[in-house]
Amino acid sequence: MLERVAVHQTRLRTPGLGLDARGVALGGKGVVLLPSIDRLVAFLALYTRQGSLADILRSLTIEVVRSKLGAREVTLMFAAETSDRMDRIAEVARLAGGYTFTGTSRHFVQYRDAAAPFGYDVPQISAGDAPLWLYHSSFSQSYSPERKLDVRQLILRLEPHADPSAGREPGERWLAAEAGLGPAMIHYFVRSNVTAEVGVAEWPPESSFEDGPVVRYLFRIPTLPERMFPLLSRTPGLTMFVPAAPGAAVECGFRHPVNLRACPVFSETGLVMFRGQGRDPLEIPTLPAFGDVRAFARVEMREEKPTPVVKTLASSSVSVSLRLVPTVEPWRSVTATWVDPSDLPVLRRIAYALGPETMRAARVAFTNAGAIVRHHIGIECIPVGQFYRRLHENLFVPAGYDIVPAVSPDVLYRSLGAPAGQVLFLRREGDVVAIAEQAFVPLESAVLEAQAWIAAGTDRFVDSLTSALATELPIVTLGGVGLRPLRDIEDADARGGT
Amino acid sequence: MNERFEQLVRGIVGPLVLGGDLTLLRPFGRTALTVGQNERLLDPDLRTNLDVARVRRARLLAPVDILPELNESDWAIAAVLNDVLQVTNHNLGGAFTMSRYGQLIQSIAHVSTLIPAPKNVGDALARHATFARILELSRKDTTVAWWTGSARFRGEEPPARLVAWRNLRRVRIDTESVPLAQMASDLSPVNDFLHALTAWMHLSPITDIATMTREAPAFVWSASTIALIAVPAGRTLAYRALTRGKTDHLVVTSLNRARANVPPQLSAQQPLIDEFSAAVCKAIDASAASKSA
Repeated sequence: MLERVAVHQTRLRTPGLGLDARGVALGGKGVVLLPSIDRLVAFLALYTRQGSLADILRSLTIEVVRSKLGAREVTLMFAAETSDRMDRIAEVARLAGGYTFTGTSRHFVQYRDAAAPFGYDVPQISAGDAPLWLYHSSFSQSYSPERKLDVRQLILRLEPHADPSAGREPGERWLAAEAGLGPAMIHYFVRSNVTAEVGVAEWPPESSFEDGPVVRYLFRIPTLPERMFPLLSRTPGLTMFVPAAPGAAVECGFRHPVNLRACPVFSETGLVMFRGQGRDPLEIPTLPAFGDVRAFARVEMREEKPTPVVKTLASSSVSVSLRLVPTVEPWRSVTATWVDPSDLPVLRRIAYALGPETMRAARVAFTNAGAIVRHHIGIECIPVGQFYRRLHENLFVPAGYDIVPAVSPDVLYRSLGAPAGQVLFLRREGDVVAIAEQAFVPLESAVLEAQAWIAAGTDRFVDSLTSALATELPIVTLGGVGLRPLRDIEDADARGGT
Repeated sequence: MNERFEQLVRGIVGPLVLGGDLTLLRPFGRTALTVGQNERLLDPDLRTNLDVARVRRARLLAPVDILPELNESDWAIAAVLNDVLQVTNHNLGGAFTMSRYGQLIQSIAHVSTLIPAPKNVGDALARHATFARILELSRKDTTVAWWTGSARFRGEEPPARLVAWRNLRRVRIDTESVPLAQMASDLSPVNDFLHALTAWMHLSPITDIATMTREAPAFVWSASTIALIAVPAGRTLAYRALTRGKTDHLVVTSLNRARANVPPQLSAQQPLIDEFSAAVCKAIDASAASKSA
């Protein structure tokens, strides 16, 4: 049993225990005893909701300890400093189902509570060489440390909770894109005039069977337009994160159980991205070099190629070559996109997300230089490839460019001399490509692969049926049971009898 | 891995779920409760095959894609099943040790009460996925007759010397498949064996209900089966399990018989049982009427 410390009491028996200015029994350290790891998580979650862990983090030691009876519990040891801090910690520990103690080296006595406003003292110190003795009004127990727990590793192992409201607020976002989606996202951000920075991060291969490292594009977007939230949060291969603390971010739609801003355990030079749905967090020890996405936009023109038109110019003093120049004019009539062969997988994925109207109205032609998709209303709903705007009924130029000299579209179309039924694309490389109008087919018939079908009345899962029919029947075989076949039963009876 | 646990996996659970020969083990008794503690299947092929077969079985009743791995209770139920089957083993007791059968049956009844009932409907479905084939168990008995005599072998292959020189000794071999309920018919008191089997069936309530139309042991309501039909999801699974077969009239007969023989300690649940039985009978009648129309 413990003794309550009385008012104006000057001598205490517990070694390392003294009285602070308010007369409260206080040692150099505080100890919180928690029954399990999940209570420890609850303690951290509660504590970080109220204040920062930074003030105790430097002196904090978390250990799994083992009592003489073999029970494992968790202790947090930290510098006590003042009774104000201890009071706050004791309240949180009580809420989390733990006990608070104070002491200096090995012997720790229960910290003050409502029954003993000035704390407790031990009438007699227990003898023993255990490294930790805890004296509580209801028990006295010795513990030996079994292993240490690292706060950072503990926080990394905690899985974020699903929270649909998380990440809806405006602000900075991180976006991790798989290697195949990175270039498409860069062009998407450039086209959409979204300010963003991009870097390429590498992780070690997930298994020894993989040849190279895992590469992902990492985007830092200061202000992400709200209209892009659904695309970036639902597209497979893209994961959007909300900065939760310096050096840490949590996936949109999830919330970490611990307030990460109150746990300064992550380096600001790196980044830890917590992912939901049971996936491991992505750790980057040092952030890669970032660059403005506009630096990646393909805006340069190739050298002019000698064309028949150029030759004609040489013989005429008034003719000039046709050029494309970037323009800041708002985009209008963007009704076609040129999808490079490398981006066709992205188009295939986007096809799953397109609405029925778009599927019906869009038309696509496939060439050896890629696929060309046209939509008479606008092509923004298919965010892949290089966009083209319609200059004439059968003439397209890259979006964001104007032609110089500024001749009328009809004049330009006539000058190209294309036969009827050809759709012309004036490319940024300077050449003109013609595609037959008949080559364009509805997108809905182009994207759908041939589907397997079966006649009504037959089993749909032929493979399953075959394997199910091949299942053997269970047959009981009998055999000898050895000497004393019921020894397990007899032993149990004997133990029950004694 | 615990040797007994590995024997249980290879000898009982694997063949029961995937098919093949069940090799009986020494009776477990109370050690059934601890045989699966902290144990996990290490063979990835066997684990995958078990998962696929269990999910295939569960999907007959509910659209699930994943089932939890077998837990401590499931391993305990499998160990008790081994004990139940050992009651049918003629090698267990001899002329002076026939009391072993009674001792084993008592142990089964006692251990069955110590295994916890399913915690929820999903748990009950997972148990059913593992033990649904219980009534498919059979034993192959072989009778060998030759020109001077004959011998019968229960669940064993006859020795090679008895079947040698077939034509010269005029050897005739007859095999017979014995279903589970009749396995103990010529050995221990049949009623005791059926009581042990009933106690085991109560551990997997969906299996118990799904096999309601069995000839023996007759279906009786238990606390676990009543707990299952007391919740809407469990009631749906029970209804699907009952109406999967083509024996609607037998279901009605079995329900009425079980309704009239509710154990006294469960008499407070009689209204629930009556209401469930009436609902199932009504649904079966409606289905029959629509088919005839």
